Formats: sequence, C-alpha cells, structure tokens
Amino acid sequence: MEQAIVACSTPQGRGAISVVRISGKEVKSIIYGLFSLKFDHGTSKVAETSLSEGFNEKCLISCFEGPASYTGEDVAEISCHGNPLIVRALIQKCIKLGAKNANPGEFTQRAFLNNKIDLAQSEAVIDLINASSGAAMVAASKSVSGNFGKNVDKILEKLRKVRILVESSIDFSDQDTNIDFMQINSLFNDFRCLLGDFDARIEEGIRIMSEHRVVVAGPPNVGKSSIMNILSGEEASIVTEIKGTTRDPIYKKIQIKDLQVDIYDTAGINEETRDEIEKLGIDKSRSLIEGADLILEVVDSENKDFSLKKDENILKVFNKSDISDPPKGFSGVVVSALEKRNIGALEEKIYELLSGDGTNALFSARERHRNLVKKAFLEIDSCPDPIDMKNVDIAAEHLKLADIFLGDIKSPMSADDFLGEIFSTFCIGK
Amino acid sequence: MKADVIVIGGGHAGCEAAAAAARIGVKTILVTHKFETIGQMSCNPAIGGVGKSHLVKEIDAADGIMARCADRAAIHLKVLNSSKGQAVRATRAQADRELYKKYVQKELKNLDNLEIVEGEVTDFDIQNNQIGSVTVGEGKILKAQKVILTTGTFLNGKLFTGMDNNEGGRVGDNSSKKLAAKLRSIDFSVGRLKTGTPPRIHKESINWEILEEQKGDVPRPTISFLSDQSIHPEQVSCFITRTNEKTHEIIIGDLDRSPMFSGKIEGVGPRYCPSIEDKIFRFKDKKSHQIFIEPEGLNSDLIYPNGISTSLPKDCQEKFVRSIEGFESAQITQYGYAVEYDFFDPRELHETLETRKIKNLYFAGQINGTTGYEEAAAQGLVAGANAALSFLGKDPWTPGREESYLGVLIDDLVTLGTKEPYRMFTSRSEHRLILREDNADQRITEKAYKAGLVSEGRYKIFSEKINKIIKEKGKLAKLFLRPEDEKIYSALKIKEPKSATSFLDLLKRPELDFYDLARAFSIEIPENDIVFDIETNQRYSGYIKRQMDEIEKMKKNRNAHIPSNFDYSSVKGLSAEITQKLSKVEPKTLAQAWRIPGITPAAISALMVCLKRNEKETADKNARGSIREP
Repeated sequence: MEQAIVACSTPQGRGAISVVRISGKEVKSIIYGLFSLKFDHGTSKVAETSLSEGFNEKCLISCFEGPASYTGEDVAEISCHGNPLIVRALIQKCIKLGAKNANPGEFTQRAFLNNKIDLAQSEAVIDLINASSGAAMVAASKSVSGNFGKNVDKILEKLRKVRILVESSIDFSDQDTNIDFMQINSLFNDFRCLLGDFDARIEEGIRIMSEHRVVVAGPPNVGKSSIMNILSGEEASIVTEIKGTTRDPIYKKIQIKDLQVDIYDTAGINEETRDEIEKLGIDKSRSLIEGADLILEVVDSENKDFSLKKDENILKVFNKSDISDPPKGFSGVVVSALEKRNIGALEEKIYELLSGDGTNALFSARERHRNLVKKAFLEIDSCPDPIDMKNVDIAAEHLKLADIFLGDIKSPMSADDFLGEIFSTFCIGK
Repeated sequence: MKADVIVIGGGHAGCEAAAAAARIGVKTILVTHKFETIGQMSCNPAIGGVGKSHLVKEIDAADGIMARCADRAAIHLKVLNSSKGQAVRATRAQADRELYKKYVQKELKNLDNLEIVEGEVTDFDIQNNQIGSVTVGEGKILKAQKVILTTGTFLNGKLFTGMDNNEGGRVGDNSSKKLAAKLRSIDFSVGRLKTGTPPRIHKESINWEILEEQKGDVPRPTISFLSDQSIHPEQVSCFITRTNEKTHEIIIGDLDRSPMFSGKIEGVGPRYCPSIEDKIFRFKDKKSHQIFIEPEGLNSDLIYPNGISTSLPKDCQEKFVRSIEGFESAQITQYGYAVEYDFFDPRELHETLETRKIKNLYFAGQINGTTGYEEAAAQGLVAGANAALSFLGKDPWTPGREESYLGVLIDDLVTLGTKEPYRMFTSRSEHRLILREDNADQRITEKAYKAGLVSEGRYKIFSEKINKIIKEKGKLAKLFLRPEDEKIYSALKIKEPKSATSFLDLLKRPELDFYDLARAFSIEIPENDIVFDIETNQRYSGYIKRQMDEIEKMKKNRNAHIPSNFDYSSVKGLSAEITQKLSKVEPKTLAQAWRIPGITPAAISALMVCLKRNEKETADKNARGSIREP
C-alpha cells in the first residue's frame, strides 16, 4: 500500500455535509488518531474529533478495508458538517497524521493501478462525474459497474475463439488438433455480427455522453442575443439596435431540466457586409453551425424568408411576436424575447429535441473506444473471407491486429497469455 | 591453462556457443563431463518444427552448426504447413541420434581455436562481481576472460520414475551439485522446472503391420541453406498409433503413484508438452491421444513414442504401454522419467546473455528456463558470439525481435522471464509474415558476417544469391503482359489486361504462380530458392509493407529510451509492486517496459510523462548553457 492520500470528495463550498476521503497504508492509524476508533471493515460509526481548542466535530466514519474498497487500499470516508473551514481543519489533521493531499483523480488512479477497475471503467468514472444529462448518468453508471467492459469481453472472447483455431492451425499443424475451417468461418461470422452490433451501441454510448451544443443563428438584428440572454438568465450578450453588434461568438452553459447545454450566440449572417471584421465573425458562425447539435434559426417579420438551408438539427424560432405575427404555416416556436413570451415552450422544445431516445444506451463510451472499434472493423473487412488453408496466414494477421485494437479498450493481452488460452483449449503436446 | 572464452557444457547451447566464439577467432575451451556425450539429443530425435525450424535456419544463416549436422543426420524430412501460405512453412527432420552426435563432434574438432577438456566444473573464482577462472574436477584451474554456462538440466537435477527419485541430469549422467550450490550462493533468482521423456521401446517388439505409416516428403527439403539432398542418409518412415480408453483407465487408476500428482515434483512443466497422465487428467473428454512413433536412428534398436512422456512407476508404464495398439507385446528398454532442475530468472540477463550480477559470466540454454534443442542452440550462438565480441572489444551482436526469432526469444526471456519451460511458437512474433524460414539468410547473414561469425565461403554464396534475386527481379519488372498478348493471357486463363502489367505484379495474384507465368512467357526458370523468394515477397508485398511500417513505428517507440539506473520510485503514480518489477528488469526502452507482465497502461503513461519531463528539463538545462546562476 502507498502513502495515504486525503481529499474532500464533495464539491467545495457550504452544504449540509461534506465527505473527506482517505486511502492508503496509514488510514487505520489516522482513524485511530482522529477518533480513537478501531478501524472495522464495513462499519459506519459516529465519533468526535477535536479540530481546535474547544471545538469538537461530530463525524460519521465509514471504513473499507483493502482490497475490498474502491481503491483496493484501506479507505475511510469521513462525513462532517459542510463548512469549508471544518473540511480544511480535518484535512490538515489527516496530513499531520501521515496523509498527503491527493492529486486530481488519484483515488481512481489507485483503483486502476491496483486492478480494481480497468481502463474503460476508470474512464467511465470520469464520465459519470461529468455526465450532463440524466440518461448520460445512467449510461455512465452502467459502464462504471462494468457493463461496457463485459460487452468488450464478450466480443474479445468470440474473436479469441476464432484466433485460437487459426493460430493453432499454424503453430500446431503437426498435432492431433483437427482444426475445421468450417467451424473457423462460422465463428468468424458470429464475431463479425457481434462487432457490428457493438459498433452501433458505441455510437449511442458516445452520443449520450457528448455535450449538447446549441447555436443561435440567423440574420442580423432579429434578436438572437436577446434570446441567448433570456435562456441563460443573464446579460451575456450585448444587445443594441445596431446591426452586427455580436462579432465573436458568445458561449454560456445553461441547464434545462436535467440537461446541461452549451449555448452559443453568433454573429448574424449578413451576406452584403463589407466590414472585414464582421465577415470574419460570420465565418465563425458558419463553422459553429456545422458542429451544432441543434440550431435555433431565429427570424423576424422583416427576415421571414431567411433560411440557413439545413434540414437537420434545426429549430425555427420566430421572434418579436409582440410587434408582428409569424407568416402563415410557420412550423417553429413563436416567441417575444422582449416580453419573455413563450420562452417556456422554447425550452421545452429544445429539451425534447436534444434528449431524444438516449435512455436506451447500454453503457457510456468515448471517442477512443470508437476509434479502436473502427480500426478493428477495418481489419475484419480486409480479412480473407472465407478463411481457408491457403490464406490462413494472412487471416491470422488481420485477426491479431483486431485483437490488439479491441484489447486496447481495456488492456491488451500478451502473446504468452494467448498461448495459454490455446493450451487450455487443446490438448497439445506430443 | 587459460582461454579467452570458456564454455561449460557440451549440449546444444554449449556446442553452438563454443563454435560461435571459435569462429569469431578467440581462444575457446569447451569443458564437458564426457567427450562422447557432446551433441547428445537427450529428448526426442527430431530437429525443427513450426517456430523451431525458424530458429535453426537463423542459426544456420549465422554459419552455426545445428542445421548442417541435422541435414547429415536426417532420416525423415517433412515440410509442415506445406498446404498453407509460404510464410508459415516449417521444416522438420527426424535425426539419427548417433549420426547427429558424430557430426557435431566432427564440426567442433575441426575448429581451429577450440579445445575440448573433459571433466566436471566444480567451482568458479568470482571477485568484485567478476568471474576470473573455473575449477575442473579436484583442482585444475582454467583461467578465463569470459565464461558461458550451459548446464541444461544438470543443476540440481532430479530424476523421477514413480515414487523413486535419483539425482542426475539425464539417465546415466550425474547432476552438477557442487556447481549448483556455488550458483545458489550467488544472489541469482532460482526457480525449478521440470520436463519428461517417454519410455523407449524395442523396435522388434512392435507390431508394425497394423500401424499407420507416415512417409517423408518427396522431394526432400533441407534444413541448411547450403545443404543439398545428396548429404542425407538413408530415409525411413514414422508411424502413428493412439492411446485408448483402456490406456486412460490404467493411468487414472495409478495417478496417486505419479510424483507430479502426489506433489513430489515442485517444478513447473511446459503447458504444450504435458505428460500423458497430465493430458488425460486435464482433457477428460478426450478418449484418445495420438502417439508419433519416431525412429531413434538407422542402426538403433529403439523407437521413441512421442506423446506418452511419463513419470509413472515402472509397472504402470508396462501396463499402459501394452494397452496401446501395436504395442501389445512392447519391450520397454528404458522407462520414462521426469527431470526436475534449477533455472535462473532470465530477467537478470543482458540482451547479450551476460548476467547482470556477475560480469563476464554468460548463461545459455535450459539454465535460462527454455526447452528444446533449437532454443538452446539459438542462445548458445548469441552468448558465444557476444562473449567473443566483448573480449575483442567489439560491438555486441544482438538481433532484434523485428528481424528474427533469435531476437524474439532473447527479448522475451530478458524482458518477460518465464514461468514454464519456454518454447518458440510463430505466434510469439509480431511479424510472422516477415520472419520466414526462406529468408532467414537475408535477415541474418549480413550482420552476422560483420560480427565475424560467417565464413567467407558462405558469405560469397549468400551475396551471389542476393545478386541473382536482384537481377531476376529487375528482369521481371520489365517483362510486361500487354493487352495485345492474347496468346499469353489465354494460356494463363486470365482476362485481357486493361493495361500493360509486369510479371512481378502478376505474381501478386494468388491464382497465378511463378512456374505457370514463366511457361506462358516462355522464359528460363531460375533456381527454386530464387523463385520462392520472389514469389513470396510479391504475394505478401502489401502485408510486408504494412509490417515494415509497424516495425518503423516500433523502432521509434524503442527509441523512447529509459536511462540506466533510472529511479522508478521518482515516478508519480507507480505502485510499489510495479516499481519493483521495473527496477528488476531495468527495461532499456518504453517498448520493452510495456511488455513486462503486470505493467498496466496507466503505469506506462505515468512513465512516459516522467521521461518526457526529464527530457525537457535536460534540454532546458542545456539551453541555459554555461551561464552560471548567481
């Protein structure tokens, strides 16, 4: 076990309670030093510690003895009153008793180094903390508990079944192994189907974890900045009567129900402008529009024919309903930023369009995972099909590379481990 | 007496080590118990096989002796995987034990710089962690600059048959106890391994009529690049039989009398070469196991039943052997036994196979935890060459894993160590399509020649072959199939080409082979090895290019150098266990560190960050130059 680390595990600031977590070899002695308490695995006890002259803090102490703990080391979680001064004093006392301040992510890192979780799981812990929607949270927590890892294992198991036969047919051809190429090909097809399925699920897992980016766009002076300000609840953008006031895009994080949304206010699209700076701003608007999950295309009665000419991810908003009516058959949301009219309906619509059907995601995933799966796919696509005697050496190369790529998601497997799998499958050895 | 290099042990590692040092031109002494056991094949009478033949061809490409001797002793030859792609073909020879030994001894006798001393090495003189001399027998001292230890299974060897056990390294030969005690007193990490042999059966007692015969290949392959078929002795067949349910019943009934199952043997055996009792125990569903009946030699009365190695008691061996088809009245002339022996953790070796702890002392062969003649010989070659080169003050010769199975073997050993007897398989290599049998000379000979291992004669033959390939390839690149050459493409049964396509490019098509093309184009057909080389390289060209790219990447990775004496405890985020592992192996590069078992991706990234930071700090310091801080 390593030297104990200590950190406050709850957000900084005041609250009902804060939790200070310690992990490492001195945890038992620290708990005894603080509370004169015996460290008992799996128990939660209430005890007092003196933090300054005449000030005793009553805490709840939960003990987890390694390796049956989050980090694999001895861990204690101390719940105290949620005052930063108390938290600081408690941490100082732990340090005096032998702990050191934890680096960001160090608890998870220790869990990883002690083989409590794999790489994919430790990524999921971070995803869980950063999840920006309810559905994302559910998906990430499924990954933390190993759902994603289990799916990877299932696929690797299938692939290795094929590889065991393929490699054995090469290295143990003089043995009594009776490798059947029909069987190789049927296992290979099973694997390919499973990988295709997995790829689709990863897409879903990534989509659900991605940040939601909403871009407010449209012609100049239709009230884009006013809408932005209302949605974000503050004066983020400067609003004037002058066309082209907003040049650089302005960005704000907002919360709609359980969804976190990054909202961008952009320069109005004005094809006729000669102003070089405004032109640059418009270019930026266009590139933001390209990357958006949802575009609020804002128009008013003077610009009712304006269109970004996009079919996807678009929500039409008609502004200034206080002074004019939308054209007949207008399909979007009609608001008045000035009078804050119908803003609730706008938020509702944004939420509906962004949250989609994400609740079906089986796990959370990352770009890194998708890239590895894509690479594995490429190998499988270039693998000879069907695999036969003549091409088995080439097939073996593609399958090996696919194994390396998929293995990298969690942790790669060595040639020797792989041989071990062959030996446990076949009785090899004359 | 004194020598530049002393080799202890006359097995396959010792012979190749002594021959390599002598070829490089340093004064070499080989010390062995008995001259007549030099080059003895203690286990099965075969050389080669998938993975192993690749090693033998590489040894041959460095002008080693194993392949030449195997060819002269080969009484049955086969190309394994012959119906599969060129890249995975492998040669295997059944060898006449007596002939093999005879030719090895002859090779060694013919070497100018080599002297052979009979006797048991009983002691070393080690001062300041450096070896100075070895003692033979009761007090004969041999002074040496470099010592190579190749003691095989003789260190604390113990033989088991049933519950009886005797000391010994091989039936009829004593184990080296004094040496073992001396080595255990030095602070090497010692482990125990075991291996086994089957009972030997008298030829005349076998009912050959009912057994399945396996003939050797025609035409016969050769193992050495320089051999031709004319040097092969008379050829014989192998035969096949199988165990049956009765056999299994007998063995299961006596399992408690097996030293392995009763816990008497502590050593770990190889996973791929288990004893028959182990096979039956582990694969209960399998009703029958194949036995390959190998001839021991042209003039031998014995056969070697490959597949039933055992340490069961003698009466049980009799019973189960006679339950097998063809063996009903088998006469066992020597019972099967298991050998348990000491080995040293190879992670305590440099890539040259010099020990880290004692300077000028080298280990090769089973002492490093490997099994197999070929694996032993390969290490002998590398240790012998490097001991000699180091004595001469020259650069070491350490073939890399991207260019050879020699490199795979040594890199695996010194980086990963081993828990069981290590055997070569092609799946251990990342570059199987490049590391082929047929191009071992192109991968090895040039560098080995520069190291002084290869004779002028062989080098000349090699260079001529290369020139022929280059010339032939040049010719074929300019030989085109044009849309108007209807006669040619209709003879090849292919469609009219859209544009002119060269002979070389046509070879990339799997349905066309060199000989058909040559006939269609009416050109002269070059020698077989030239044809094979050109055809194989064209067929795999896409893959070879890709693996080459990978090798380049790997080299870059390898260049992420870890300084020697690097303090792993200074790396933030490494667990104590991982720090210990890294400190033990002292990987030279990040790539090497990555392959150490138990090293996690997180540990590698932590290490990488630390190395980058150190590098930057050094660069910053250098950039500040000589300006002194106040």
